[in-house]
Amino acid sequence: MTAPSPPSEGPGLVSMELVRLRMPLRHAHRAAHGSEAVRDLVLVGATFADGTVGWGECSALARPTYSSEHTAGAWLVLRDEVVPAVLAGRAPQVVGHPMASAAVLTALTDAVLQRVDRSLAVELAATLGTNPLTAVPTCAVVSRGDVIDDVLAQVADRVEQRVSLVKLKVTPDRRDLAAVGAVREAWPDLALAVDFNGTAEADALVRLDRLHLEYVEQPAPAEELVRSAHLASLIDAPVALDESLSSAGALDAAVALGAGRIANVKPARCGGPHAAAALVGHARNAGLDVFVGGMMESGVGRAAALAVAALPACTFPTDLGPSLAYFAEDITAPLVTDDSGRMVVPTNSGIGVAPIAAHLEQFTVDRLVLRP
Amino acid sequence: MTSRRWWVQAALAVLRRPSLWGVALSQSLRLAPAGWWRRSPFLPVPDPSYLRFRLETQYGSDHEPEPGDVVTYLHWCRSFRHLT
Repeated sequence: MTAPSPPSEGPGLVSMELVRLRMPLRHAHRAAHGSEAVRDLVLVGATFADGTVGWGECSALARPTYSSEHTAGAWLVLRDEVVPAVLAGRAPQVVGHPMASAAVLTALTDAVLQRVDRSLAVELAATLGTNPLTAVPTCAVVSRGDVIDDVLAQVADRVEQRVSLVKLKVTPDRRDLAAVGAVREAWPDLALAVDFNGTAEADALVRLDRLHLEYVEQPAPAEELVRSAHLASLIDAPVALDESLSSAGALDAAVALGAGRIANVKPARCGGPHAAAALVGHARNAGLDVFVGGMMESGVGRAAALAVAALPACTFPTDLGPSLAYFAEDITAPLVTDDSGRMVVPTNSGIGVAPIAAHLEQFTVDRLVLRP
Repeated sequence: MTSRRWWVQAALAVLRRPSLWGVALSQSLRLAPAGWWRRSPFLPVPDPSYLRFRLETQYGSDHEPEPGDVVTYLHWCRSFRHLT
């Protein structure tokens, strides 16, 4: 895996800052792995001697329910292992914790790209021999609801925003399955997908398969690729893999087993934007369709992920939506959609956005500056 | 890392494969900083500080890429281009 390491040429790294944020979500996000009403995040700022400051985000969830990483643990790993190693000019000897590593790598990359006046989107695309898209179609991810009307209202709201695809978070619970049926009935031509976050059962899948889904995401738990292959064989809709794709090796195993036909690549989970871009290329070369998923990032993480989503190799709409769909106020200038409902890819140098001091202050609950 | 000798070896590895010359040229132009012709070394090569940073984060500070990795990378870019 790509390891964070400070640039050894140019102005030196003066300090690195950890900022823990608690950002209220506009709507609680409910999925099979739990519910989040407040986004608990860690930002990493890397300050160089010439005054350049790069930013990255650790998008782990507050609790270790989606993956083993979680915000409080990531804070400790960053504070005690990754950041001190980078400040000392050596590679951190850390196993796992890709989201913590991604935050540091993104911050360093942001700073270095600002210096050469190049956007991350252009850089990633150039590395793969192509040009980035300027705007990308989006998929609205809709939370589980207590009652079907809640889900229908959420879908109606997002359809109005002209999203290209709607994805419902589901479990095999009969209310969730009924909600999918109700959405299909209300919008017969809507491009619709579901995400089980590893909880699918065969009966539920077969029932949903009649609803002409674009894909069924992560039916089996992350490590259970054989079970995923079995479930995929029961339905016509392609299976998309998310949590299962922790590395190129995991992707190769999934392809060999027939565990999925679509890759959901999340830059945070892959260890940063470059690793994610490489995984996008790897997946396409293996014959999979690809899209970039989201982790309810703030503007910092969202902008970095959008740079990956701007790769023309991404064949399905990205889960990354506009900032205001998640937060009443973002810490950066809000990332927005164009008139066609597509997410606009930042074009400024580096990740293209930076936290606004007043907004950062508003959501900060802990802050720590580390120096060499 | 990426010494003059390394660049010569990498260039020779590419020169021995005419089928990669086109993709090598286009990648050089893509990865070169804007206005590369206005400043030394007046060649379409990546910004040295950024290239060093990327190679270190990819390979670690105590490992060098092999010149043959450039050939592998260019093959990869060529096959990837057909998919986009």
